[in-house]
This record gives sequence, C-alpha cells and structure tokens, in this order.
Amino acid sequence: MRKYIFPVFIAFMLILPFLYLPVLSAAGAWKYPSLVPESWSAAHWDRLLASRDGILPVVTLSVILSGSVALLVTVTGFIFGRLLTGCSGKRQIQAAGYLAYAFSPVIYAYCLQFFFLKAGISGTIAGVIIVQFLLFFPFSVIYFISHWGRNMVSLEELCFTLGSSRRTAWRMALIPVSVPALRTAFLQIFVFSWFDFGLTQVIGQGRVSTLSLTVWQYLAEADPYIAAAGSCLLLLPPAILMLLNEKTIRFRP
Amino acid sequence: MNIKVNNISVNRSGQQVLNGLSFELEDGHILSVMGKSGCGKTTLLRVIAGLGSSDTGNIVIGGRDVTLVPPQERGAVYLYQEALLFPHLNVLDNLSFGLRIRGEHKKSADEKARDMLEQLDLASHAAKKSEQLSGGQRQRVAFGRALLVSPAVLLLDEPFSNLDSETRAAMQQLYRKMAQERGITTIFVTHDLKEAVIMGSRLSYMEAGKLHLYDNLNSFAADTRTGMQREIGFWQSFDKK
Amino acid sequence: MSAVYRGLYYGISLLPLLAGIAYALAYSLGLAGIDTQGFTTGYWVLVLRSQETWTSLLLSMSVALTVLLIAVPVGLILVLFYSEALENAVIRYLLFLPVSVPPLIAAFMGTEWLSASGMAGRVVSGAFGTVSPSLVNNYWHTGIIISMTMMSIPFLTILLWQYSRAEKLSGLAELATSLGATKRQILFRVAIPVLLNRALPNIGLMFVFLFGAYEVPLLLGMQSPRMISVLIAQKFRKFDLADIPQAYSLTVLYAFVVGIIAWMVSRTNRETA
Repeated sequence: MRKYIFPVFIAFMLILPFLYLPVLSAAGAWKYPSLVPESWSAAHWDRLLASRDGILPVVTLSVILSGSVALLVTVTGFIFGRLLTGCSGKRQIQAAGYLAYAFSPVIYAYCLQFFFLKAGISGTIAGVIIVQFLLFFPFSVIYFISHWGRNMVSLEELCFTLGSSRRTAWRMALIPVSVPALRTAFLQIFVFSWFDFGLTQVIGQGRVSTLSLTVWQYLAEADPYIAAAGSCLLLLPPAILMLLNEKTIRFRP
Repeated sequence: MNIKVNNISVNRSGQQVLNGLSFELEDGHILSVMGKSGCGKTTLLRVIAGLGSSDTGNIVIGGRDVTLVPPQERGAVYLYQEALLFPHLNVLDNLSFGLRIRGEHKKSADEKARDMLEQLDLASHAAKKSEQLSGGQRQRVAFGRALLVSPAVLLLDEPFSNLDSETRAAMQQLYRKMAQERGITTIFVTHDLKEAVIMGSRLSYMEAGKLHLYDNLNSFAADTRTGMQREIGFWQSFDKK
Repeated sequence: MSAVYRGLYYGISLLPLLAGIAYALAYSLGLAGIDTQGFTTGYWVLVLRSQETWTSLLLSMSVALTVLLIAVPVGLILVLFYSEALENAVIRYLLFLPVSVPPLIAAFMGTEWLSASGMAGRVVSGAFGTVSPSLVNNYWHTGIIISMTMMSIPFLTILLWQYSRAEKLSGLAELATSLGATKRQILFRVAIPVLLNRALPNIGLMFVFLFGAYEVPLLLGMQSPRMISVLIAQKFRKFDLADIPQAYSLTVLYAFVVGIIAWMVSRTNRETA
C-alpha cells in the first residue's frame, strides 16, 4: 500500500484543480472563505448555452477546424514520413522540425501575419487551418519517420516482390498496418489544434471564434463561472481521447 | 526457371560490394551461398529481386532479361530472417495475400491458402493473428505465402537464423521437400555450413564481390575457405583420442 | 528524387518561419512595414539597451529552468521508486490525465486556486484562520511556476516511464547488482544517467516550450517583468507605431535563442545519429 501513496497523492494534486471546474460551473452563491458553494445553480450553463449566438456554432466550428487540421496534417505527415525515410540528412530534417515545432505559436503567428494579410487569408477559417497546418506538420513528419522504420519499408518491399503494385501495397498492406499510428497521430493533432489559442487569436483576428478563444473571452470579462462551464466543454474531447489512447497523447506547454 | 547473372557490379559509397559477379543456376535447383558477413550476399539477393540496382551487367530469369524490370514483375520473392507477417491479418489472410493483390478472387485464394495450411501443418491456426504464433510457425506462413504465388525464383536470406536448432532442422526438411515438389529455383544464403550442405543442390562461396560455384560436394569440401575441412578435422580429432 | 522531397519538407516546415523571421528582421531595421523611414538600427539599439528585454529573457529562462528542476526529479522519483504503482492502469490514467489539459485552462485554474481569495486561500483560512498571500501576479512568479510544473510533471513522467521500459532498466539494474553494485550505485550510476541521457533531447524541447510559454504567464504574470512571449505579443498589440519594430527585433532575438537551443537538442539526440 505504501507504494501507492505518493503516486496517488501526486495524481490527486494534479487532478484536483480540474475537478473544481464542474463545481464552479454549477455553483450558485459561493462566498469566501467557504470551501464549498452555499447553493447550486444551472444558471451559468444556461447562460453559456444561450450566450451570444449560442455555444453550438462555436463548438461545431472548433470540431470542424480541428478535424480538418488533424486530417490534413496526419495524411501529409504519413506520406512525407515515407518519402523522407532512407533520405540522407536525417539529423537536419529533425532539427528543422524541432525548430518549427518548438517555436512559440503566438510569436510564430506574428511572424507570418504579414504574409497572411497579403494573401488575404488573415481573419478567415482557411487562414487558421493553414497556419495550424504549418506549425503541426513538422511534428507529424518526425512522428511518421520513426513509424516508417526498417520494418515498414521491408513490408513494402515484400509486397513488391509478391507482385503488388505500389498502389495495391499501400491500399492492402501499408495503410491497414499503419492504422494504429495514423489514429494516434490524428488524435494528437486534433488535441493540439483544439487547444490552440495563440495561432487562432493572431491569424483569426477575432473573426474565427473557437472554443478556446471563447473561454478566453469569458476570462477576460472576469466571468469565471461561465468560463468554467466553457472549460468543461473544452476538456471533454481530450479527456475521452486520452481514455481511448492512453499514454500516446502529449501536450504543448 | 533458370537464372543467369552476368557481370554484376555494385559500388556503394566507394566500396566495391559486387565485382563483376556472374553465375548460372539451372531450373529447380537450390543454390546455397556461403561467405563471411558483409561479403555482399544480401546485396546480391536484393539486386536479383529488383530491390537494389547494379552499376553493370544483367540478370536473366527464365530467358527474359529482367535487369530493368520492376520488382513486381520479376517473379522473384525475397525473404529474410523476419517472417514479416502482416499484423492486421490472420494467418489465412496472410497466406492468401499474394494471390489477392494479384486480383485473384477471395474464394479461390482462400481455397488455395487452406490447402497450403494443410501442407504446412498449420490448419488449426488459420484464424490466429501473427503475434499468436511461434517463430517457426511464422516462418512457415511466410514460406507458404511466397510459394502460393508460384515465384520463378525464391531468394532466402538466412531465413532460419532466428530459430532454435530443432525447429531449424524441421524447417530445412520442410522447405527442401516443398521446393523440390514445386521445382522452384532457389538461392539460399546461410552462415551455417551444415545447413548449406543439407539445403543446396548446388554449393557456392562468395568473396571479394565474386561468387564461386562448385561442381560437387567434394570440390566444395576441398576448398579451405568454406571451412569444411576444419569441420571434418574437428570431428576426426575425437576418433584419434 | 529524395532531394526534391527534402526540399519540399524544408519548404513547408522551415521556409515560412524563416521568411517570417526575415521579414521581422527587415521590419526591425526599418526596411519594411507601414510608415517606414528607411534603414535604421535605432529600434535594435532601443531593444538591446532596454533593461526590459534582458529581464524578460532572463525571467523566461529562470522560470523554465525552475519548472524543470522541480518536475524532472518528481518524474524520476515516480518512475524509479513507484514503478509498481505505475503498472496499475487506473493510477497511470489519473496521473497522465492532466496531459490533456490545455495551457489556457491550466492558467485559469492557477488564478482560481492560487489567488488570495482562491481555493488555496479558502483552505488556509479554514485551517489557520489567516489570509493567504496571493501566489499569482507576484514578484516570484510562483503562480506561473506552480501551474507550469503541474503541467510538466505528467508529461515528463510519461516520457521517463516509456524510456525506463525501452531501456530495460530493471534488467540493467539486475545486471549491475550481479556485478556487485549497491542500491545507491545502481540509482546514481545506472538508472538516473540512463534515463536522463535518453530523455535529454525531450527535456531540452520542454525547456523551449516553457521558455516561450504564453497563456500561463499572460494570465498569471505581473505587468512587469513579463515573460518573452507575452512581452512580444503585447508590443505587437500596442498602437504606438514605434513599438511594432521593437516587437519584431524581440522576435528575431527570441528566434535566435530558440535556434541555438534547437540546434543543441538535435546534437544530443542519439536516435537521429
């Protein structure tokens, strides 16, 4: 039992603040220094669901946006991973990937803002998808280069010597074999995109309102109750994805 | 089909891996290739399979020059230590994979695969996934999969080196029997002297990017490079004691 | 053909960033942008002479380093001494769950828990009857450090846990024991060096992330000094036209620091060698 105390304590400490979110979102009156709300209320949730043009369009946009980015980045990363496997200069490829991937998203967005303005895609959904694609693409390629190790290339060669065309080899062997890796990459990038704040804020110019930005807005308006309700919505998909795909999801601090 | 390799050279980053290598192997024979690590055995097999290119020379399989033919159309299947079964397919689907990608109907492909399962003594494992099989079973499936597409040439790169000695002996017998029944021309690379002699109807030794074929077992044994004399001497030393 | 693919990859992953940095450099030198007066080093002199710049860079590095100095040992302790508990899927899920929390919400939780009237304050008041000092927006940046540490612990623990399995740490420890090593020697001469060596590139990347963190310091930081991402973003948002070229010089400076760290990280990554 002693073996469990410390890990459980750490896990408890880490999770505690987040258990607080649903409580706050359902709190009625909660005066200092009371530890629990004096009354409960659905008012904040009602306000969230009825607020502005309603939260539904925001959630829908966020899902479509993150889904598109994840699909685009996963597919291109998978293909580039194969194309770059066996290429010389792997160290440089990785260093370039790290450089782009580790760059602060908000500063990255400011760097590109001029070009997006010139191209007329600043403040559009397409612009946000493109800027997220650019930032997450190197991560995906580096991930898939390690997926396309020697074994996958050998499988491809085996298909060839068994008489398969490149197309058939991909359709019947390489893609089915890669389904777990593709799923992990898709979920991971979906979460990156779902959480993104800096890129969407700068390139979206306030005209692309995702759930992250909406929660931010409530925080800026010093409305923690409704922000807590919004945060619950924001946390729901990643928590479910984590459950489906334990140990593979990472985050960007 | 017979196979003819003429004057193949391969230079990789300044190193002459194959150096004007030539040989001919008659239809239905199994050629054992021995040689030290790094002598170019794998490169030779990959060039014949079309998975690597050569700087000079040509390769003729069954009278057809395949030097510029892509691997898909050569009819040369290349297998190595790892069975490389598809993890998303069960044993039966792994076996029929080669037939299916050639457009054969599922029903007839499955039928042939079931036949093969019987011959491989794996009939009760049809629905298993590859990770549920032992090393020897996996290797048998890999063979069956290759044999089902009736290749013109089979290229085996130390296929048994990961197996324990008992399984290895059983696989040698099984493979030899099946290849002879079907008359499949085979090039068999191995480090193991005994295995080379058991498997090969022709014997060869590779050195300095060239392949030397022996007329018979005696001439193979007489060549000190093959290590056969040392082996015989070792066993004879017990007699003297 | 492979040169073409590599070119395409660099074109997508690096070219936009380099173009952006080049534009930033041009802007900061008065060569681009609205209302440009022609070449000038004036903005750079201003930025390099400003104490705000150096304080911000130093602050960002110190925060990142402090977070790692707390989170890495906690991760190591969990992985090395509590491996049995980590084998339990439920504990692992609970421990790793916070990885799926976005920085924005971590920042929000920081304000809700660590401010004087926050949950921590309520607990202190209930237990000791005193008013707790606010841990956010303060000089020591405790709110930022606590929030970022809590986000980093799960991530680092996952990483170290995966490496401890990949490196077959238990086997190495048994081998060392059979060679006569004491428990202490195994810990300090085998386990910790093996894990840290393997995790070094990722810890380096973590440092870059933390160094450039935005949401957490935006919400939990002070007006001054500010961490580098916040400083740059705020300069970009000011309406004073002289601030924008300065923001661009700071961007170039930030990119330079990140470039050096990324280069060092790629050198330590033995997987790529």
